[in-house]
Amino acid sequence: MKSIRTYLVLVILSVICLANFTAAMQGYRGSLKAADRLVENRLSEKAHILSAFLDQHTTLPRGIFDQQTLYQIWDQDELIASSINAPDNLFAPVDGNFHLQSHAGDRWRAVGMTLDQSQIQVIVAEKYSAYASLTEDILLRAIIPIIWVLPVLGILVWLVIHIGLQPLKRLANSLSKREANDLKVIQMDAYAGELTPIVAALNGLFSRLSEAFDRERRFSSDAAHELRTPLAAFKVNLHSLGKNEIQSEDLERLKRTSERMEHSIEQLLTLNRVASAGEGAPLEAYDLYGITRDVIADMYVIIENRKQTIELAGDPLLLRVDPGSLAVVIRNLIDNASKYSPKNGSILVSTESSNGMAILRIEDSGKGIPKAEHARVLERFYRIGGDQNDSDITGSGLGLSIVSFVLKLFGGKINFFESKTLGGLGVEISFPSAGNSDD
Amino acid sequence: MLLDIVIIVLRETLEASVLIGVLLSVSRHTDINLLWIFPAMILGTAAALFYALSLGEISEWFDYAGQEVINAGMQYIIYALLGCIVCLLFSLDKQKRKYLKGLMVASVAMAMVREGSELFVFYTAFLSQPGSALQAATSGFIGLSVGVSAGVIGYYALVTQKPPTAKAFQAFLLVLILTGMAMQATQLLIQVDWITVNEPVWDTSWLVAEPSATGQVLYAVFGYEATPSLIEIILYFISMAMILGPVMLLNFFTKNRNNEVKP
Repeated sequence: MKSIRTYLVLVILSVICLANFTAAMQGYRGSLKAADRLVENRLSEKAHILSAFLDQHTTLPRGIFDQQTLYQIWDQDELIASSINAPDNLFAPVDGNFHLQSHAGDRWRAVGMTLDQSQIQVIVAEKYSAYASLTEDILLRAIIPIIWVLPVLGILVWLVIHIGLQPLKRLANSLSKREANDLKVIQMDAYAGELTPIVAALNGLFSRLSEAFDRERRFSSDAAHELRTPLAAFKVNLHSLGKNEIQSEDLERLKRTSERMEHSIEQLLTLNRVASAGEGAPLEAYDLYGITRDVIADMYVIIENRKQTIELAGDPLLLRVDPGSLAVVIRNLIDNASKYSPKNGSILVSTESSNGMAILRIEDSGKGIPKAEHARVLERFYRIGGDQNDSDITGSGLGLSIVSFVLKLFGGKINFFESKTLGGLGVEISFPSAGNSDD
Repeated sequence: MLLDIVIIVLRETLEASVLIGVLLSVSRHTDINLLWIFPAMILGTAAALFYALSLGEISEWFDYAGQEVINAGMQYIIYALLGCIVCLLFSLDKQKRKYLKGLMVASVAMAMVREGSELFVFYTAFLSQPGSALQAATSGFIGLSVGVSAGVIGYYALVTQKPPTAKAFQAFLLVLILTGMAMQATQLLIQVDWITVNEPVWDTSWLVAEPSATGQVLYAVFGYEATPSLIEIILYFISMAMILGPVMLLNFFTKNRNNEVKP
């Protein structure tokens, strides 16, 4: 069954139709039987009228009955009187019972009886078609409204079912409008009793999912914290080894590896912070330009150490996002731009509003990323060139996946392009705008 | 009179709608899109009109037994098509099920030619009588509604079953319908003396009289005959065995194969 509504409408209408038909046919048969009884009573009366005439008069008056009636009066085997439309032979058995006889292209209801204390036999008959068509006409007029009202009934049944299924539609709408991380319980009181088991099951599922997410977050957070301490000790030991004038390529490689591990742990912790921030819907509007300016100010020393220049252009733009998460996104993107640009390179950051979207562009003078890799760099732990990445740049492959995660959380989008101004990679992120900061 | 017309319309529509209901449920359980019904009905209606308009000429064939012989031929073709559908339902090779759609279109179109042409002829004759339009429309609507309702209830009764149960009921109903088709074809050939019959073997008129509403409906769907002759009974069981035999063999081989696959 694909649609409950179609199923209910069709089956209810079909059942109504069959029930109506059966009832109408029963009514039809019942009416015919009643009409039969009526005619039989009338035939008996007519037979008695004839017998009364025979008792009092020698001749019967002409046209005593209408054309729909015929009669015969027999004295033993002799037909002593009959209506004009009656045949000459014995029309029906004289046994007091009612019979259906064929005569003159029609069917007749007939009764034959012997009069009291004599040998006179009277047969009276009435045309069957005359009263059958009358009965049918009466019945037809009674059942036609029932039959033709079926289409109207169909529309009414459809409407009633449509209204009846509204709570289900409301539940489906409310579920489809939920954010991916919204695992709040559904209020049972708001739905019909029939939906309570579904709502209860969904609430149970949400609660289990929420617990599972909590466990996962706690695990990554605890693991990152637990790794921080031994790593710090490890770095101290490495530093001591360096002081002891033991210099080798292996030691340098160990130092780089430990830096990468430290970076990965920091990124994991960032991911946790961002995920937690996304749970409470950030409804206040924040200025994209202002947050970007603050992030640049924080990172300025690192950029300056690399002898790079950074420029910020644009106007204040408001968005409804968690400011901490947005800062993480901008920091990750500027950090990447700086890391992958050469010494003395340049970074251009700009904000712009277009078609109701607040846009932030970060362009660098590095080598850029091949187009084929654009989608993959957003995957977790993915680095161009994989484990064989030969750059000296410390990275975990988590930075852009964190950016992508935050954008998904707050309805943002990311695009990569080739910077025409600086020749390196250009990254464009956009969020639905919350208006202009001047408003 | 009204009841008689309703029964005539119902007799023709019920057979087609029960068949359509069962075949649509087969489509649902075998993941075949139900839309095949529309080309089948359009094709069937067009062919029914063409056939009805040509009946005058056709009835002169085979020494004025043309209509009965051609109708019987169509019934036997529907019997064969439905037989193939039942066998495919139990077929080991699921790839062969792609032929189901074509077989279903052909059998529904053919059934509609058979029933539709009779309705067309009946209504053409009936409407020529003055003042019959209201009776014709009412009885036609009642007959059509009741026939379609039975088909809808049959369809949903089958699709709401679990697949193995539904398959058993579908096969059971299809076998009853197709043997009914063969029985009707035999009766048509008896009418034109192509098959000679002897004395009836039994008489169940006391239980269900053929002219009664129930008798007519049973005739329409399952080819009910109150006073069958020996040859009719033999042909009925042969037509049933010709389908049930292959189906039972296929079922037997499927079970054996499943047992072999089990560790």
